[in-house]
Amino acid sequence: MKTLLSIVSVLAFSASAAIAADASANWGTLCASCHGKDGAGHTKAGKRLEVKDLTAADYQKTFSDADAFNSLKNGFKAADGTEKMKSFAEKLSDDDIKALVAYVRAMGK
Amino acid sequence: MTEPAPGPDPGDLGRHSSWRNWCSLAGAIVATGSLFAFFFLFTLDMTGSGRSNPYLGILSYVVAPAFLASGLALVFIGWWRQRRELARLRGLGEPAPLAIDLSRGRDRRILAVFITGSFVYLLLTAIGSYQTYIYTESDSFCGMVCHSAMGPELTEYRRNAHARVACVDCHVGQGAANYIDAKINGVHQLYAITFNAFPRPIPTPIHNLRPARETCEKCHWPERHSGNLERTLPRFLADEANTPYTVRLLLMVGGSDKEHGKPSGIHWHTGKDTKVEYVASDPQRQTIPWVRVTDSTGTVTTYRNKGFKGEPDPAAIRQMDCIDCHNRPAHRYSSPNDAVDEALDLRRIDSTLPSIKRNAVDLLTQAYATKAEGESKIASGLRAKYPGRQIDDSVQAVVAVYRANFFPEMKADWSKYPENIGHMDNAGCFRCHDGKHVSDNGRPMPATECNSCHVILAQGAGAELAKMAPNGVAFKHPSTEIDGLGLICSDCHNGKNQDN
Repeated sequence: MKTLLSIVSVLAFSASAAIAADASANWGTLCASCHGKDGAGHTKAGKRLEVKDLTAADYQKTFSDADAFNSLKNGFKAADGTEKMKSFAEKLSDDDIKALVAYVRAMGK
Repeated sequence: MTEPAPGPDPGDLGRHSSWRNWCSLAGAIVATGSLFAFFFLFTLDMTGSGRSNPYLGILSYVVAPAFLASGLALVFIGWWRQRRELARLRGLGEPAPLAIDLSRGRDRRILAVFITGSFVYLLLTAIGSYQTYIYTESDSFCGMVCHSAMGPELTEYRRNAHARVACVDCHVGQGAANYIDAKINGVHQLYAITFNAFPRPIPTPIHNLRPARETCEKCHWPERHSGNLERTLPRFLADEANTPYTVRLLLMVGGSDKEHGKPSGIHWHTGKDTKVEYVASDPQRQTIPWVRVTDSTGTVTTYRNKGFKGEPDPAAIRQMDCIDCHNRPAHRYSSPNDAVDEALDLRRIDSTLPSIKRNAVDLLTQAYATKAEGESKIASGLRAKYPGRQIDDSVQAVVAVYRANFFPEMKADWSKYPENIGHMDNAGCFRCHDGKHVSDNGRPMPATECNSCHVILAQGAGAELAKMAPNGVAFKHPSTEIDGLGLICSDCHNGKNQDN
């Protein structure tokens, strides 16, 4: 029984580590060029697009996980209708997007 | 009462020569030594034995002649003082005026020695002056004597397309007036070098650079600009696979001479009958809010961006010439992205190493205090990324990129010297052609479309590059979709990894 529990624990840990690794890799490939490695948005593109600081806990409170999921899935427009972020639906699965949302949430803590 | 010290016997004074004194003797030693040194160094210079040493010229034609002149000056100062002293001791007061009596053999011999010596001295002075002129116009004088300040510029100059054009051809020009201007300006630079008072990095653009019509156009005459140029730009993405992504462009460089048809293309700007003037709001001329175009019919059109009101200061208006786009023609610092892409394309860096593009660029763009520290940390950083892999050649290639393009002591690299050709990492053409400059009657500045200056013949990798499209294809941004975001290349691209 102990052996079985150990195997389940290791598998669960490995799966969560893999998800984290995927989210980190996706962040680096798809998001960091605008939002920066750390999510603060201090990049040339981030400044041009006026992206928000995702490491700021106050800003994180202004949107829900569902909002973040929707923005990644369908793209994001500013209040004046200006397109700010393209949809990543063709590049990321729903699970990838959920993992990225969790990754972003961890930045604000 | 003490007895006064006995003075020299006036009878002996007549035998004393005015040349026999310590000052003249010291001067003679200095002059003889420097004359010998001059001949020795001059021989070395003429035979080419010391050509690689930039200090040889300074020693031969500046230091040695200076010592020779000082020594001769001491000889004559000593003679003059001794002559006065001897006259005083003889009780004659002021020495009698010099008199040369050619009926006396002694005077004739002295005169002959004097004339011969003067002739030899003038000859040496002429040779020295000429060689000094030649030397102070040489590339080694410009670049190596002031090596701590001008080292980066000299390194880039030697790697760039104009390496066989002498520094002075662009920076000084022909004629005595230009030479004197440059040397007067050089006094200020000499002070800055001597007292370590020069800025780091050396600021650009050079505001008193000679006009392009007197420099660039001596070889690149606008009458011969015509047609299109094909360029292949091999790129590699900063992903794990270092995915190749090449763009083949047809650049419409065009021309401005009516003999070859209607002035068109990028070199329309250089037309004899066309005048383009502008005002920049920053020292590096990266932000241009006001442009005035006078076309071949004499029609004047002024374009402003939204933020610019009123009229500019006339003194701030600059007439556009070659150097406004080709602003790094001889001292181009490659960006880390460009340099690593080139090394990957030439297989100097092993593209099978995962994420080597990203890792190499990341290491190149860290802050290092000295060049030696940078080279060492880049090498160790790469080895730490790929344990167990044979990466000596790749390490050597990345270190070579650093050595050629980064100068931490002078704070000089691509980021300090924005290049205006194109629009990848800097606004370049889009400083004016950004769609935001509007004429007084509401007409936007023309040529804001990508295909105004180039068409993309092919893009991608492998077989995709063989699918040529003569009329061009729309640019397909690799990796991520950006259409509709209203971005130009330089809004994101910065010559390094964009995530920092």
